[in-house]
Amino acid sequence: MAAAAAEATTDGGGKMIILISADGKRFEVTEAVASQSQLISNMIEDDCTENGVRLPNVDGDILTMVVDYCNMHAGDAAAAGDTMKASSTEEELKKFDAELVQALENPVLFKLILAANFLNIKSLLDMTCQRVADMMSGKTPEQMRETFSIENDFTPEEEAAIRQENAWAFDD
Amino acid sequence: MEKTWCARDAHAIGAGVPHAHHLFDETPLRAWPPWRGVLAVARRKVKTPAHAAGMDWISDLPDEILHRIMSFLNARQAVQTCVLSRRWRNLWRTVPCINADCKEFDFFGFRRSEVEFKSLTLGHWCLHGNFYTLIVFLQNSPRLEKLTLILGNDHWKTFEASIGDKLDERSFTCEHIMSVKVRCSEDDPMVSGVVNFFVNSGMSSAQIHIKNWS
Repeated sequence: MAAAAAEATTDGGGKMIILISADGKRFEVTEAVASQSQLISNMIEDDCTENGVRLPNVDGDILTMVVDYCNMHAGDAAAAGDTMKASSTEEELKKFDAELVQALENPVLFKLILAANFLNIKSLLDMTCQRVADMMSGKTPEQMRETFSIENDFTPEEEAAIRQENAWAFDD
Repeated sequence: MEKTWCARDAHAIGAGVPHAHHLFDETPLRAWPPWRGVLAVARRKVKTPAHAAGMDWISDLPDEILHRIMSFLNARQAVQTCVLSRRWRNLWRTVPCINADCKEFDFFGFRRSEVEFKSLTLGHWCLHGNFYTLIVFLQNSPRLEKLTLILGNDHWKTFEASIGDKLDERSFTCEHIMSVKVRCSEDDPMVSGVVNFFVNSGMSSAQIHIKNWS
């Protein structure tokens, strides 16, 4: 997308819009890329992206990941350069997603989830939530607490009572 | 900066759609009496900080996101989250979407649990015993909107013995159901039975979407 920065609005691939992170970093993306965010797509429809879109609760490093993800998934690489492939192949996308998600750990993973939720990018939200579920899957509650640093604020008696209440889920 | 109205607009729009995922809306929170919270804080102060090293990011996520995460777990594990901490205690009860796997599901436990799902994904096993489990699920899910049946080679036979096969009452009411998706192999013998089942229950066949494995 950097390549297209010079010609902000005349690119054949559509208008460019600027996303501005909480810490003031600016990202220039095509409308097609940005529209994967339902939030921004609505703003484009309402014609209020002229002066850039400020995202006060998304940090620059998180927005970098989001923009990378959207660039990869927009399938409009053609808009940025004529000799490039029209879109990423499915295989490339899978690999990209898998690498992105594998690299995610606390707290970046959770920041990315919140960003995907705020920007309303369903596929990214699902992918990141799936990652958290994978981190929980197969673990006992004790191991889950450890993985996510969840403090057990039950007394032993309370915990025993709750287990009893839902005994069918805890039976081996 | 010279013209900030647009930025403010952005906030406003953002604020307008804080919970854009309608799949998970209308989930009533079982409000915890506030005094319990106070007690919990008091107790926490006495205890040693068990996880001082890491921050508990996950528990700070909004309910709708935790529900989304839980919907990717199997039902049994989703329920197990109730002992993690007070924050999690009743979250599973309002998960509107569940992925139920016969191997870890006790139907009588399910019937007691008073959960009202909006979206269910069930395997072949639920059709066993003249659709026994499917009917139990439907009878207990009056708010169901979406049902997905995955007819594959799951090992429901191992489970046969523990499923009952007689239902005194076979009718159910799912007035909100909009679509039933069936994923199956092209020559699956159960498909016509499934379609008949729903058509006889008052659904139109246009609401039943059959998709073959590719």
